Amino acid sequence: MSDESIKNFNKRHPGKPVYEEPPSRKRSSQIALLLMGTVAVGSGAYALMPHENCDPNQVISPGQPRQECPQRSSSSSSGSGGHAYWGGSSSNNSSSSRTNFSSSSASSSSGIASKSSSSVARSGFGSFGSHFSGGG
Amino acid sequence: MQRILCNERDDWQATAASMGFTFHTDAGERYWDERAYYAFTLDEIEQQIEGPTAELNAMCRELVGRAVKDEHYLQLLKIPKAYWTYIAASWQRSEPSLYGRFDFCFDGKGAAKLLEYNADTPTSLFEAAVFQWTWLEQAIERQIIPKRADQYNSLHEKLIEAWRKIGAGKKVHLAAGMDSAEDRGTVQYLADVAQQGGLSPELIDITEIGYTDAGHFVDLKDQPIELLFKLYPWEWMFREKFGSKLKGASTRWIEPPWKAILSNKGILPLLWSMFPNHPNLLPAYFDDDATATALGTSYVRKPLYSREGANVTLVSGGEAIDAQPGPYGEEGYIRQILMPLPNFSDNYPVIGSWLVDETPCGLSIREDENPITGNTSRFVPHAIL
Repeated sequence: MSDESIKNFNKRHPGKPVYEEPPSRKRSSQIALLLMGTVAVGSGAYALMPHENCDPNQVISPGQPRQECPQRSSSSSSGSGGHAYWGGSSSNNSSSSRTNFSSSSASSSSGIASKSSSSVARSGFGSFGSHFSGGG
Repeated sequence: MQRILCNERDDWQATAASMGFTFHTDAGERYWDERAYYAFTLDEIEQQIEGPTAELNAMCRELVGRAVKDEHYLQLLKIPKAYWTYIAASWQRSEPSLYGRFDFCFDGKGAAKLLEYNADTPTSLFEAAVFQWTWLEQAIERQIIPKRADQYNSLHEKLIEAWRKIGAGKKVHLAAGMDSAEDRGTVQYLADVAQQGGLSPELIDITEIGYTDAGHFVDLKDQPIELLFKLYPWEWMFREKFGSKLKGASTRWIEPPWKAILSNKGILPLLWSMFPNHPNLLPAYFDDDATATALGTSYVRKPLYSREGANVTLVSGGEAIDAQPGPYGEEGYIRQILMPLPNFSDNYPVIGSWLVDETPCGLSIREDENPITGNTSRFVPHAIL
């Protein structure tokens, strides 16, 4: 680059600092999921639903009985019939660095959840939802 | 704004499965479709989508502020009188909103026009916040789209932060009709970001919420539910058996009861009357209002309560040119001027502009070969170029 061109450059941009455009702020930085994913859908989601605390892919130790999955039901009032929400999901019960929810949510998944007493009424919401999605 | 054809990732279905995105295909038809994407300029995003979203949100909040003080608004919206004080109290307590989505008609040329506001139970959240973002990253990496591509999308971070503000350290129940894969996936994702925000989430089917003699809503362990996200419309809850129990219970709801005002198509004529000729609004009137004739013979007729395009009719020259069936309409209808969606090679996109904690922060697009966007419309990703 000649001295002349340097001179011209400086004339065209007097005192203007070199400026690099900052990255856009529209982007997400990083997305991490704790509960969703191949492993999480199996184990994490079951942990989220205490009444379904019966992972069908549970690892059974010798001599340990398999914990049967109770059917989804309502005990004290009418309710919909039993089926598992997450039964079709894949799960291999392998450890995952992405999934730590099962252990951290032990308080909501220790043992079969007690069913409601007779003083609790259920199925008071959801009659529309049995026919249509609530989302939009 | 352009619609650009592109190659799809050959492993996108496996990627979706690995992330728990189970409803990417419905009855053999694509719901997630990355064979094309919509490209925007940064100016289009900031000036035509983000800015108007913030302004419309402020206008909606002004409407709620008026409605809770003026029963005429609530009568027009057909909100049952039994819930007026309940809704007003929720507004006066400034109960926070987690999220919402405006749907716009936008072609990149004129101003974005508000078609409706999904204020209460918006879905397509996981695919907007996470899977769309994953597409962007991988599509750049694989040179499917330009390296400089960006995306209007900070939904994920905003949701985590919003949950943190709402209730870090607390337990939150998330309820939906779990038989719907989309609804289930949406609350599962919201549970994920709630967990990341420091809450302890637990899912429950909406039908399994209990109510005790002591006046509490309870979970399946009969434990009182303190904080409850529900992907279930307020207008349905008001009309169900437990609706009458809402006022006396201590449960805090997300979305809050005041969102029942905004999830009603009746806000479209109300906003138009409050802000006539606003560039982001379309002329709209209540169907039984004599002034509705101002729209002439071409308009869209929408039920006050409706989802996914159900019971929407396009009327042109006095003739119904397209109509979607559905169960809604009992409470009445509104009319909105007919604003045809832009046509990109026979695909009609609707722009979803997301708010989290009242802040505009993301965009999603549903497109269809039909000018009425419905529950079979495809989700198509976007990029900023």
